[in-house]
Amino acid sequence: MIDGSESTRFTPPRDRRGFALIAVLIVMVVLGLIGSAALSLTAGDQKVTRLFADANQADAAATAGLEHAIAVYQTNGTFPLSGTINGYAYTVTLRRDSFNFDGVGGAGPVHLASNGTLNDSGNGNPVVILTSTATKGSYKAVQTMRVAKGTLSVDIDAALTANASITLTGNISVDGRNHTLGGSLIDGTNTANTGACAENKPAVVLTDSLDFVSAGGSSDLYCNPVYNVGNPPCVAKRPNIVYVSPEDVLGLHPGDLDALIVEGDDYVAPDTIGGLVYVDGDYGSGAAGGNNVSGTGILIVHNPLYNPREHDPLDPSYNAAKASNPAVYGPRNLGNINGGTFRGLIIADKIDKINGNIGIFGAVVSLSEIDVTKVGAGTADIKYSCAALQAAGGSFPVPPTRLSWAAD
Amino acid sequence: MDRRGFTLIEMLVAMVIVGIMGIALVGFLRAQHQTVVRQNTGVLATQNARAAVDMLARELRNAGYSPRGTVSGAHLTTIDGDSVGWTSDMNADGDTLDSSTGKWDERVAYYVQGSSLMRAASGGTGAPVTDNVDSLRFAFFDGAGAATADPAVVEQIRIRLYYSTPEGVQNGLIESQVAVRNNIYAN
Repeated sequence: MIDGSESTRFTPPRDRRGFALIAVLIVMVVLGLIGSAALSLTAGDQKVTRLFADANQADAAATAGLEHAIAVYQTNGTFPLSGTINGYAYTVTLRRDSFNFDGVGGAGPVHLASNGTLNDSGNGNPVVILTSTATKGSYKAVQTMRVAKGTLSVDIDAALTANASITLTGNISVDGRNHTLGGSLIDGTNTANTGACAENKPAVVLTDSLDFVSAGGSSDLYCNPVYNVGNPPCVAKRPNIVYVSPEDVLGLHPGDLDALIVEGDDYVAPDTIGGLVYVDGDYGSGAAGGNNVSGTGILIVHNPLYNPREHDPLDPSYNAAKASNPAVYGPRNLGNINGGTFRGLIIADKIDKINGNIGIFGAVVSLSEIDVTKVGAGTADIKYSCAALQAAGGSFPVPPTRLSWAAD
Repeated sequence: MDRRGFTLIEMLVAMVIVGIMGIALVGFLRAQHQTVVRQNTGVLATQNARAAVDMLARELRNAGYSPRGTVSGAHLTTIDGDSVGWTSDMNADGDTLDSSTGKWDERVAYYVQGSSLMRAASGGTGAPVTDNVDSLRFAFFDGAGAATADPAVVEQIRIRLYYSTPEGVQNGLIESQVAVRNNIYAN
């Protein structure tokens, strides 16, 4: 017979099952607590990381918007401007900046003068405020930049600038006094000579002190009265300025204009220049029968590999190897241009003839060191004109000037 | 007989076992709790340090903001290995005297005092931005990427904030680099 009491004392299944359940529950609760704590930590970390990522992505999109807006502003595009980059949207608005700089009157539209100062008297290009907004998640990035359109500053100090001796023949007139865009003399007696654009200048500036002007025939030189000395008069020597390239003349960085070069062999000279024309080859050659040059802008006849200083034996930069290889490194020739009316700036390595009845209002610069530069014959006019030079500079797009930047 | 219950010895043995298990469990829980607390502190310290560097970097980007062209010369007024100060004209009124112009002040400096990152605005005394800071290191670079001590030519600033929790469980470095755009642009 089985003893019931003994069987109860040993391993009663129900009691042990109950205790095991409690133990399992306790362990589960503990593990659950640990798990949830770890989870909340991770979740918090993730959220922080996401917020930082959102902020950075929104910032980057807003910056992209500003860059887009600057390019659009230069080309007179429309605002507000919207766009997306990598799926992040931005919106850029434009408004004119207004401030009272001189304390006189009220606030006026802010302008950036060519000397880099801000004013509310209308001097220079207007300043606009571009505000770029981009949103990512809960983060909104706002960036602001003030910009003014860029203008190429064409600053030439004579009607004719050359790095070589000049022979004037025929009835040519080289006039350094300031003229209107139409070629009318403004005030020939004004002796102001501070270097500002709208002043009377010398007729000719020579950048090599050993060079000279030979004024033959019935050629005429006119200038600011302070330069009206010597024989021939109106010639100033400035050996401290030697232009080596069109970029040098225009105050740009070397190579800035390379993208605009038209190969000489492929170039069919148009009679009318518009904007900036850069020919890597001879132009208006006499052999081709001459050319009229009309229009407004900047005409460049230059070999980008040509540096006049490397061809001048007296210059420290003289390079005999290059000087003896004119096919590759030699100057390009502005040949016989003999008709039309051109307003702006002509930059040529070497000038053969400015001839016939051509009228040039603005300035002419010859880079070459070669002493054969002849300007003359016919009744050609070269008249210095600040207005024409400024108009020529305005025809060439340069990136807007960035003035100030802020972010929320 | 079935209802007689446990013997005393059974009870004692069971209580001892339960006691041992309980003590082990409490110890385990305490250790876990301490770990959680320490990790929390560490995470918090990291987040605070990151937020502080982000705040400093964002504010520093506006250094030299001068829409009226009146903040002349060096826009960064202090460039030091362990502090930075600058002026800006955030409300575009032509001076750099205002405090809290909407969101920003116009004269700001960041430095470390004790174990706190301090921010001083408009020439006033500093207020702590975050604690647990071991050190703050700045490096200043010009446009060519070379280290410079001239505030006028600084274009990039590298910020390094070293931090650690009081228990020393968590220590680390938050690094950021800022382009000081207004030192590059015209005004």
